[in-house]
Amino acid sequence: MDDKKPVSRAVVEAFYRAFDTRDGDKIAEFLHDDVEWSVYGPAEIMQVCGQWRGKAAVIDRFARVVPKVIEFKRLERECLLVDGDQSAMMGRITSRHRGTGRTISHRTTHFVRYRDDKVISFRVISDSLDAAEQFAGHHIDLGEATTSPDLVSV
Amino acid sequence: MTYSVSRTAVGAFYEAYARHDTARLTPLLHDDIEWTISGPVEVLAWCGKRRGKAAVLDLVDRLIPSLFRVVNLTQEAMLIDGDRAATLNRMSARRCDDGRVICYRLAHLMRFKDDQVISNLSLIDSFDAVEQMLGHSLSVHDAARTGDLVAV
Repeated sequence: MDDKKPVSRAVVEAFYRAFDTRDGDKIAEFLHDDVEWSVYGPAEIMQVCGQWRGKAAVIDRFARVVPKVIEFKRLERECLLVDGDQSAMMGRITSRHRGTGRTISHRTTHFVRYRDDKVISFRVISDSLDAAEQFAGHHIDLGEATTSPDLVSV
Repeated sequence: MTYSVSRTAVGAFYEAYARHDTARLTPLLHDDIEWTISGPVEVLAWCGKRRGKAAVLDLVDRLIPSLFRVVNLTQEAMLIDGDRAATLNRMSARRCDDGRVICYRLAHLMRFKDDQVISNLSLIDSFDAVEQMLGHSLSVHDAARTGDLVAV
């Protein structure tokens, strides 16, 4: 059986419209039962990072995990590529930090794979140090970079 | 007619880039190229913004090889749509100064013009990359002690 059926741009854009609502039930309409959702970054600072497996876990992420940490404001999509059974998005995500009210804004990219028009794999790469500093609310000390013998010299 | 880059052209660029083969890479870069890699330049010296073919070739031919040798570049996804290509990769590299291996994910978003790359934006899991370059964990626990850490 060919599980690499192409996804249409219309389906991808519909998924992102649901994604923007942050409504777990609406997003669930586009999730495969066996979805794997991976957000790379230090989960000890950014609790929105981590790996979630299965539709129920991803819905819980949107319904319970993420809203505790941030209030989503917007995702500005700079480009959205659709090719075969995959899509890729590059953009900027802006949120409000629940604990402090600070605005958090950083570039992000999504690589999404679909099976039967449902998301089966969703991977997020962001400039995670920049994002982590905004979550922490202060510069993360890289000071040893200037004193460590491990420093790369250029 | 709207230009679309071919899979062959993207593949040729990627192969030359991954091998740091500047002879093959040079004709695949537009003279007015903009090349941006996100991340802290003070630790990851190859990050930052570069403009023009000479600056990008200097990065690929001189700066990066002075820092590390790419051991493996695994392409986990490659998408082409119109004049753009996006790739998700996992790179392993050996540091020149101590032989330590670093490994992290990176995404490239490229735009092509006449089968030459005219812009590239790379996003990397910079927190992970910095920890590996420094060879130790970042002081996350200091953040926890400041009270500024997100509470959930």
